Amino acid sequence: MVTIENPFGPSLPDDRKIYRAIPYEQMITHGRIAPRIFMLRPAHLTNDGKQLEDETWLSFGVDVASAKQGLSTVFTVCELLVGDVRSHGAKLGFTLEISENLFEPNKVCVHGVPIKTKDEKGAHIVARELASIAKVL
Amino acid sequence: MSPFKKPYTATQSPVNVPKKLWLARSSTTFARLHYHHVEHGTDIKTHVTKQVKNYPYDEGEPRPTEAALTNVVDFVEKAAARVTVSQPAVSIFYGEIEFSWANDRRTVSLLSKGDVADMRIHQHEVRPGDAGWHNYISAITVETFIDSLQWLESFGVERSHSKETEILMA
Repeated sequence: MVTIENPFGPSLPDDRKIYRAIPYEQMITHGRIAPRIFMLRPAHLTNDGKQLEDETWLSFGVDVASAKQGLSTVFTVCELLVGDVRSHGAKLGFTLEISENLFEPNKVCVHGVPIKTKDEKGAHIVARELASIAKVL
Repeated sequence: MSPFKKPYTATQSPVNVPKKLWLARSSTTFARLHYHHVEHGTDIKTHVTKQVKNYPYDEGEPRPTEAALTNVVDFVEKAAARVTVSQPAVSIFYGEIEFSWANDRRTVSLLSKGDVADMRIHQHEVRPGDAGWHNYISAITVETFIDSLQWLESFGVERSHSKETEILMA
């Protein structure tokens, strides 16, 4: 069996917009998005006992509909500009790359995001920064 | 105190929220403020315990421990005995509780995973046209937390001084 480690395709240009779903109203307070929307989930067991590994990238949609795709609950969607994600990450010392998802053409991968189990400070800084530049639609 | 004058609470559309969204939800604004007014009479522990209990967790997401909640509430209450502390926004992520307070472009987050020694403060200021300013504090005390809240509160004052300087320069 061939194992492909990641689905990262070509990089997206800076002028592209990407979209991420916000599942619940509680995740926006006074118009501010909770940073958890931009944090990688650590390994955990699902309710039916399935072991999930650490997430290694954040999944975004190429449009609003794609951001909602596959989710059972969506309160709203937020929008980010690819160039902003790269430049804000770089200024804070993180190389955030945004690429096409080879397996799901209407999805986008944002990788280089720290996971809190390995870099707690980095995970909080990147998540808070992305939350602050995301535009709630 | 009027809920309209509570410190650390954003009462206007933040920079990244379109005005139409803010206005679209204006029908609920009164209810929201009224809710906070009612909540003002509620102690922080009751408020946050309810938030933690009703939080929309992911499937299989570990819940925060009792210690994480108790320690962070005790910590905030120690500060609240000395300065005014408004009800925080509550967020949880895989066992970690985050209380946050915001004022215009600044946010202070108090993070708790369990032990008091593991509590952190994250200060963030949005800087338009640039990356934000972040200060992540690992070894915290009640004094550090109070300082952070005062840093948050000082934003409007600093902006006001800045505007006065601009006017004088003009």
